[in-house]
Amino acid sequence: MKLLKQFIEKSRAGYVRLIPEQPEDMWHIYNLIQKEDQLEASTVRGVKSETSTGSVSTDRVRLKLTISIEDVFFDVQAGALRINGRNIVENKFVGFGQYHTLDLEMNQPFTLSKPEWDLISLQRIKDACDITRQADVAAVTMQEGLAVICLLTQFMTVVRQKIEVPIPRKRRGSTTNYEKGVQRFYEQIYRGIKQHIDFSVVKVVILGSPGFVRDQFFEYMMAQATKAEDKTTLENKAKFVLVHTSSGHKGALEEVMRDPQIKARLADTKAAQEVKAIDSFYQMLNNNPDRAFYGFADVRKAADNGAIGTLLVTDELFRAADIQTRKKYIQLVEDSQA
Amino acid sequence: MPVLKNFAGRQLPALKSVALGSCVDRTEAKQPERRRAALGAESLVLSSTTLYAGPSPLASFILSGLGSDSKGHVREVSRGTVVAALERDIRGVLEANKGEGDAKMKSTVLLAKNSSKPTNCIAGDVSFLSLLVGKGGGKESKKAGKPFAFDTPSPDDKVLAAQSRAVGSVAAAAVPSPKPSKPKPKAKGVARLKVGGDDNDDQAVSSGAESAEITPAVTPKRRIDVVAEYSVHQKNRETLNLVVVGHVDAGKSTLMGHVLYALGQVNERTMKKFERDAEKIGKGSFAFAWVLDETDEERSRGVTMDIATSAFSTQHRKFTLLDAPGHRDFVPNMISGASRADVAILVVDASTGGFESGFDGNGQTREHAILIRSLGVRQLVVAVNKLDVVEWSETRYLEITNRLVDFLTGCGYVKEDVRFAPVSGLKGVNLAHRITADGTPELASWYHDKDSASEPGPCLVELIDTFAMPERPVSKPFRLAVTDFFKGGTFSSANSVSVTGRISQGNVQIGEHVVMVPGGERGVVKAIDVDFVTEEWAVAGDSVVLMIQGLDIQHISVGSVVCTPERPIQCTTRFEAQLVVFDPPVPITNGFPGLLHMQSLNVPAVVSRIIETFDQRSGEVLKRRPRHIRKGATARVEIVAETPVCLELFKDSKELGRIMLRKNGETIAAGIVTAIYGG
Repeated sequence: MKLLKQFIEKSRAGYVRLIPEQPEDMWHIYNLIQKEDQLEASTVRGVKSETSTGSVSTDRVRLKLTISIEDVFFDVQAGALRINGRNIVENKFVGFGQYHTLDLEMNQPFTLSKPEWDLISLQRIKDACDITRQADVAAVTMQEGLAVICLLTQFMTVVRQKIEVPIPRKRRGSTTNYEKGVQRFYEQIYRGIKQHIDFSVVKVVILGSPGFVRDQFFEYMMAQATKAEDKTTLENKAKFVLVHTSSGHKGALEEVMRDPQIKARLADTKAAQEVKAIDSFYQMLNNNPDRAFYGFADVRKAADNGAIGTLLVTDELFRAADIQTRKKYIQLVEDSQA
Repeated sequence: MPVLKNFAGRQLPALKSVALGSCVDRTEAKQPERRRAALGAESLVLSSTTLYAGPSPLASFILSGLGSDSKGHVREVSRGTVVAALERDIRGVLEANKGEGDAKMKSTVLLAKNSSKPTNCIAGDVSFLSLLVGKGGGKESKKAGKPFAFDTPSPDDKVLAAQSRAVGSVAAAAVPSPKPSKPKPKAKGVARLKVGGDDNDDQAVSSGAESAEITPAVTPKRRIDVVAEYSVHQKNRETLNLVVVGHVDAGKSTLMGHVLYALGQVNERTMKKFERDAEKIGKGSFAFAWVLDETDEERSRGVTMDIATSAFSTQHRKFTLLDAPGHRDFVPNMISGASRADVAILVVDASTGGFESGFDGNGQTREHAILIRSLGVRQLVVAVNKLDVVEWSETRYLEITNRLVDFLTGCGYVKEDVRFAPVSGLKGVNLAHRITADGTPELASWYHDKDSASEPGPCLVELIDTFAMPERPVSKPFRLAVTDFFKGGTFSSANSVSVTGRISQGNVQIGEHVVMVPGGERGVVKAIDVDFVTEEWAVAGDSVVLMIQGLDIQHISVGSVVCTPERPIQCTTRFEAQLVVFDPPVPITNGFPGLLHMQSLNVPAVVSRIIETFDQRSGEVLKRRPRHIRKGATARVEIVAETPVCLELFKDSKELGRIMLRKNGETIAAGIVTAIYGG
């Protein structure tokens, strides 16, 4: 994301002008915007015009609208952010108070005004605009009959494809059904990888599985690539890292983060840091349950007593639509920081 | 006259089943060809060769004035004559039925049938028309003046049923019941004739359709009372499902492979072949394991990766053997097998260091023992394997047995239900036959029978022969948890699927209707294989392969449950369970994500709410809404799974009400389902 302009007064009101460049930026914006903020962006509006003869035609007109945000919808998979709100700047085509849904577009600048900019939001803009360390990692977790292909960015894990192939178990006397099923399964994963993983952007492709599935799959993939003369896969052979996980479900990625090989390569991603933090929390909870707490009531009490050493807060809390709730959490964060 | 056309514009032979109902009779089948042709209709029923793609002769006759000759070809008949004749006869029929009773009616029909002129197609149609008009069909209608109620199977159906009985297979249950044509085929002129009223007709037809559905149009040989059959044949049919578990490389596959060989299940030549091939790839000692490990990968790596099923019988029992993998990564497969088991053999490695690595630290001996206990296995035989490597040392044996007895009783096993046997899977000592003093003197010196000190102790097979047979819930609603499914198998056809699994409760027989949950698809059981033997019925506890027709393979997955349509199982994402927490690396908190294991299914799930912890023995609540559950505690929690799971309450079904929670390759907790929240 690029920060084009920032203007925030002493009263903490102000605006920023940003251009989203990557799907991940949509995620940042999603966390930034709140109800009753004002958003100005270029958008398309279907305008009904009535000609002299009485026939009504709708034209799609591109215009700049400023809306007061009321509702947000974020589609993670598609990377689409839709913001609904009322128009607050009088416009040739759109009257004051009329509703409009903005579809935020990539590489199109927009301006966001807030009545009060808090620490969290400003920090988020900083993070989003930080061009260093955009570790793009792809991961495929698999087990017999199930595979999940995900893309890990710094802040998100997006599931690109979930593959489920029924593989008949080996039966006494005949293993051909089983072998065929396995081949079919590998074929689908291979195709999925080719389709969803962009090797020019991705630095590491993690193959995680229990048992021997990953080794077998890797062999299969390389054999297929050689046979089909698939240059891209062959060239990027070095990017594949085989890791042991306990299952093929998406949750197994958590273990991947802990694997020393991967840790080294992803050391500075936020995800890796988060995993470390959560781990230490759980350790504490296990060993010294009197020193670890979760839940707002308990944490608030601890903060009041100045007893917080480390505070972990989830994104979801800040996205609370209710301004009061959000203020509560921000207050908590600011208090503990002091 | 109304012409029936389907959406593609083709004339429908919809009249066939109605029309023929009155004309066809078993006896007619013996009549010469000509007579049949004269009636114009039977050929359609009895020999499909005369069927052709156009509308039935009768239909076309009625609708467009064409007749058919003896070869079933359509022949033109003067329309005028036909219409005139029709009218004449309709009037005749009406008069005959104006309260004159059955006899007159019958005679009219008989008259018509006995006429031999080929052109007299009309004759047959009298009864057909009378049918249409609603005055009952010929010989079938016993009630004078009442419309044919369609409540008896039509001769059409009778013939088809007879055919299918002869063939021995159940024809598709989709034989059309006589609901079809209803008032439509009435020619316009005929419809105007109000005889008995149209409403009666509709009613009769629809009720007929319903009743035809309830008693399936094609019934199998007879509805077997499986419960009664089972109680009669119980002794012969009882099988015990035996699972073999233990730490990796304890020697499970080798042990059972050798047992099967010793019991004569594997022939000499096959065994020699295995030995040769195993030597070739340098895995000579794995020769016996190859009896059970059949895939190339398992053989080349020397590990069992998935459950291998086999069957064998001992003197008093029949067994279905499930060889489980011991490797950590394959515990989900082992759970799938153990959930089908009634009894178990726990194999431990007695070699120096072998037992320790399995038992202490992260070994599977403990985990497996706990898991099978949680899955309801109460009876256990511990096979202390590889004792030949330590010279059959009694001290080693006792050391292992003592440690295990402590551990197992701590797990919840009753001491009497746990037996021990010293064996060597590789050498084949003490497997199917008792040891002799000459064969293995070291073992014979201290391994004595409980009762007589001079006799050597019981061998492994003898011990498993004494397992008590558990009660089988044969009369409960039928449930089969699908562990595997595929196309193919015996009697397979286009839309049939074979499913394997163990019947958790209830019974099933060929021809029975079943429903698949989730999905709600219905099918008919066409074939049943119990332990590789074809049977007509199967009961709870049997490991079966069912061939079901009518199911789409795309909609089945591991974890689906085949049920009886009257009481299908519930499918939900949210439920409440009572968990016993073992030793999680991190304490269980609200929102704790893990993997839910139910029989063969594993799905990601979250412990969304911890309701309360309580004391296992007394049942009193220790803490309401605790922050976390610590190791060893028992708690009631709410679990939300990612995808719907088929479950029963534990009190209704012991097998389908057990769940397991795992995370990162470790079993965190095991429990039972106490409440199911809809959806």
